[in-house]
Amino acid sequence: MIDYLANPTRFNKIANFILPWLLILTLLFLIFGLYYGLVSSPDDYIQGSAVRIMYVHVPSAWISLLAYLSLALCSIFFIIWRHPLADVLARSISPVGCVFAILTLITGSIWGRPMWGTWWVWDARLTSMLVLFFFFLGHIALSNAFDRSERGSRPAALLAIIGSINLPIVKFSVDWWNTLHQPASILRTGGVSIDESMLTPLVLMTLSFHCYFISIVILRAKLILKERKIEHFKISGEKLND
Amino acid sequence: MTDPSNLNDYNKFIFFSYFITLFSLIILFIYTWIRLKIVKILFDKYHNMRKT
Repeated sequence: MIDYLANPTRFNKIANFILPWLLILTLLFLIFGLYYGLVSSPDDYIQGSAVRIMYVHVPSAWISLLAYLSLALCSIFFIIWRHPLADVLARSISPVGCVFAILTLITGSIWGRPMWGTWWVWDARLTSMLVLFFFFLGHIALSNAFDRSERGSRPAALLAIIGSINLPIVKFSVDWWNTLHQPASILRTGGVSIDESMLTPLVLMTLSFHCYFISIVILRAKLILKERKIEHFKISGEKLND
Repeated sequence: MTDPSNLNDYNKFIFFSYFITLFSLIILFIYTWIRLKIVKILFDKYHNMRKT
């Protein structure tokens, strides 16, 4: 399956087919998610209407974790099998994951101000999320730090693999330490602890963000593949001129 | 943005969080789309140059 997909021409064909469908799904889930999140869902009995920030904050956090997990897997694939498409995918994922990580921090901060009375605390969950954001930044910086883009692939992949240690820390920080951030309400051993009326917009927004994430990663992968071809044209042109 | 003293003041916090999220995602999409279009034009140019 991986071998089948890891062919750039085949990847482009499949990408061209699924991209419009993903964009349509993103919009549909977003419209329904926004309707349920902003209009239909009830206020929380403690947090009031501020709970609605959850419908953008939590999906952003999940996507940034998923993005880092995908980045680490692509990096492992690249280090072991040296497949260029794994590197292309890793380079496509990191800026998108970085945007979702910063959105998680910003929306969390906006939510924290009315609920906790502060924009920021050096809480285990918040700090580990900030570290995740820095790992994304590090990957972007390292993969573009060399004059020929391929040279940065290996060090960037190694950094991504090392950074994956942070993933369980982000997830279980609320269980391992006494934090101001609330513990997990959905992905936990005792089952979902929030009401269905709040779960519906959360699931819809999460699906929308997932479709968006995959669409942007595909678009970026197509972009990087084209850029690499141009780079090869330039190098072969220079060789011909010499 | 000031600290709200009652529950009705949460609207601007909600507005800013939704606005920042959706605006960033739209900008990221448009930026990627435009970059892809430019790279496609460049690719066609180099491809044609190579052919000739």
